[in-house]
Amino acid sequence: MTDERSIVSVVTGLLYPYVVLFGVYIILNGHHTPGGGFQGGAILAALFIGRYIVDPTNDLSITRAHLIEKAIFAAIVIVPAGFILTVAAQRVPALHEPYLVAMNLLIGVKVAIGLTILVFRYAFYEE
Amino acid sequence: MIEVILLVALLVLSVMAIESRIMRVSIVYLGTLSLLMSFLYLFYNAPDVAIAEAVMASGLTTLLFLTALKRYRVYRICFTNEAFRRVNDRYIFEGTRRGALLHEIEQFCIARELEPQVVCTPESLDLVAGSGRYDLIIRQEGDELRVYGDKENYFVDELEVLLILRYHDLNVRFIRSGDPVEEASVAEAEGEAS
Repeated sequence: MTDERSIVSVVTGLLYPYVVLFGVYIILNGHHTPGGGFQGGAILAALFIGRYIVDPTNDLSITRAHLIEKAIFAAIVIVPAGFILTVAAQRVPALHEPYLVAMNLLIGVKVAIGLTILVFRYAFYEE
Repeated sequence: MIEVILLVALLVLSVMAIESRIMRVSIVYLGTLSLLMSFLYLFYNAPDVAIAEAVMASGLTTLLFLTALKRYRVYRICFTNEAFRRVNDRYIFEGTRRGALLHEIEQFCIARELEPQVVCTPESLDLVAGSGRYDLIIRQEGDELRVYGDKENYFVDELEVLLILRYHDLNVRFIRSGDPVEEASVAEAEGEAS
């Protein structure tokens, strides 16, 4: 590892926990502060892409990431359907906030995985 | 007042990004542009959009552009002629029409911010293609030059037009395939079979 690269890797390593914290904060508070699933997910994706800048090794399984993304997409379809179509939405107002948080979380993880797949595919497979 | 300054700065930055001759500098201008743009969104009371702009446009796309630039910077060209007993650089580069062609390709690469690396070798095409190290392979066979390049690379498109227009006397043929190095040997085998 050369010197200039070690500067980048040290700085990225220092920023790592804060980036995770910021992304998760934006996702979890998305329903009443600015931000939400998409923005927080993009920040989490920046984490993986920063890792690619520091150490460009292809040890992420793209197929597994695809599977997880598809499963989350199914959840994004099923959870609102289950919530709105059943009586829970009208009967229990206390459920509304947990529902929003859960949806933001699902969308955040999906966006993070999707953007990471996009960049990794571009970096390693496209000629 | 701040609004006017920001809007003028956006205009100036976008013109600079277009007019800049060096691609890397353009990318940095674009990143700065989107950072200012996200500040402007904040100014217009749209913090949601501001976060998305800051993360996506000034973070991810800048990284993506820089990665793309890094991947296409070094362009490796291999000139192979099995008839050579040994390679003599002077014979290839000086005086001959072939040498002019190689020089032309090099200048073409430099004009597009690629770094050309030309390797001349008497090794066979299979060996060269199998090594998987070259983006463009030029093979001389008698008085015919065959150029093996990637099908989807726009750079090879431009090169094909240039070479066929200016060097039609050299009998240049372009063979384009999905992967230049792996399929070159396949195309060669098909050519021999027919």
